Amino acid sequence: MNPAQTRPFPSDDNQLRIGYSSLSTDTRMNVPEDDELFIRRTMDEDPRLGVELLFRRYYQPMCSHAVKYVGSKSVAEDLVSDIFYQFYQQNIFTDITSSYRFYLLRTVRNRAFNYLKQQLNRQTVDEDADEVGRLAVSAGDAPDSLIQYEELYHDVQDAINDLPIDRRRIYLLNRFEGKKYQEIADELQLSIKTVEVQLYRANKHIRSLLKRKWYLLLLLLTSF
Amino acid sequence: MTITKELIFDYLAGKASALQKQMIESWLQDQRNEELFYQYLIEYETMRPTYTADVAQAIDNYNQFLKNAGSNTTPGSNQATVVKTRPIWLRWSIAAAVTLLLMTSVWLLRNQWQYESYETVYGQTRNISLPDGSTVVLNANSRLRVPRFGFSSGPREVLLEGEALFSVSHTKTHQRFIVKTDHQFQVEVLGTVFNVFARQRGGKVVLNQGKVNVLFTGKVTRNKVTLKPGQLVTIDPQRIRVKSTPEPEAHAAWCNNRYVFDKTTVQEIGYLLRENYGLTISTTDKELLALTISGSYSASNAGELLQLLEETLGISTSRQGDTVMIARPAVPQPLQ
Repeated sequence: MNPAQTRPFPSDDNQLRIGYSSLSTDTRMNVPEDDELFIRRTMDEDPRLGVELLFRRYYQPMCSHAVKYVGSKSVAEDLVSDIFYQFYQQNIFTDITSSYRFYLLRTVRNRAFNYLKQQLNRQTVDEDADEVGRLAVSAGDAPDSLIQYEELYHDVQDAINDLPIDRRRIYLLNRFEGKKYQEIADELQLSIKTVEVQLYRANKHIRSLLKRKWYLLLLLLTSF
Repeated sequence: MTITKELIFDYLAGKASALQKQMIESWLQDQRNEELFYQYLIEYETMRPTYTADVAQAIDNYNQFLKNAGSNTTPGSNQATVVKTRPIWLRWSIAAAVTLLLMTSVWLLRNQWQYESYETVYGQTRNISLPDGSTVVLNANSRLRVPRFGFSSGPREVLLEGEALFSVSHTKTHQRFIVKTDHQFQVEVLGTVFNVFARQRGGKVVLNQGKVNVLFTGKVTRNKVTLKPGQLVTIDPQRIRVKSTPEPEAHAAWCNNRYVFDKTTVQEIGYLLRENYGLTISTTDKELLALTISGSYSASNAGELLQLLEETLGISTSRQGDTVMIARPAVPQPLQ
């Protein structure tokens, strides 16, 4: 199928997008301006350039968002890069009926959520990566309410904030910055043993805090 | 009450009340609102980033990744991507073979990556500054290897083939400095100036300042000698001798392109020529080799050294490639 035919070409009425068949006039003021018009046009002519434009626009905010869940810069960046990679490589962009932003953010939140879930529950069998990519839009095993995404990352932040200040510092150097034990020990002039112990305690604390609230939900989500 | 951008921002920042959250939740039921929500979310994350990602670098990586993958898949076609996979045993064999190859080459090349190597050719001397502040003057036709890793922690170990003058700086942590040789001895110091000679015909350590231990690693009766300034030890395959020298500096005169001879025979100068300049002395008159020479001379290359021999001993020399013929001037040179 030619994507140009399935998607209404931007016209005077281009605020509407396919997929919102029941759009009524009184809610139209809520619909965002089509700020992806240019990218959409580029995508039809040169998908590779189009994806690169999307990358330039959304990579930074997506990483910034993902890191709130996964806690690690490099994990967040890998996760986001991977989404763009599949987006291009598997021609996902041809199937997008919403805005690109809609797809990208839903996917990044979903994957960040799944990553955290796996971290909390290591026994979980990893889903096939491709499958996750395909199911992302169709809300696979995402929480049933969007609000739970925010709940989760706020809980993550709270759990980290709850740590004693020194332990938090070590935890963030390790998790967020991705520094090795030795580097942290050198930087803070601590023994490597101290760093290990502090990290162990920090991880235990955060896991137990998150599990207490999220275990049931995560268990339900992973059981199908 | 309507859902405003400000309310969404508060909510994203975790500042929304339970009631507000509930409103947002029902508002989000409509997919159009979800669109709007993501737009706000992007705005929020752009205005208040958790951190700054290196976008340029990420794009480079992404393009690189596409380029590498692009050769076996054709993006743009609408077919599902089929990734060809090799059988598992083949993958393991390849992995094993690659690992083995890698390990072998790492092992074979270990001297290259473990050591920084400084070499001099015939007739060349070289000043080297080591990371710990010590300096080394490397004589001609010599090689000094300094470990790339761990030189600054633990004992400082270097490997010497040839001759070098070491000026070792003392470190705060009293790290030992060890000069290892292939000639059945090594020198251990804390901080001092000394000359080490380790060539085919034997070894020699001359101490100018400080204190050094010379450890013998070969099949010799003694296993250690502690030198005081002005002492030197010579190591032959047969024996070890400790002597005193009034002028330890003389043994390192080569640093300044000087040669100090003290009843040195032509035979010994011949060794010097071979070791430092790659020249071999040859003569039909064995008596010439026993002639001796004394004094301090300056010579910056082999030619000057040979000229010096001619002038002080009254002999004639002629070079043919790497061979130097010496003869008495009384004997007329055969015509070419």
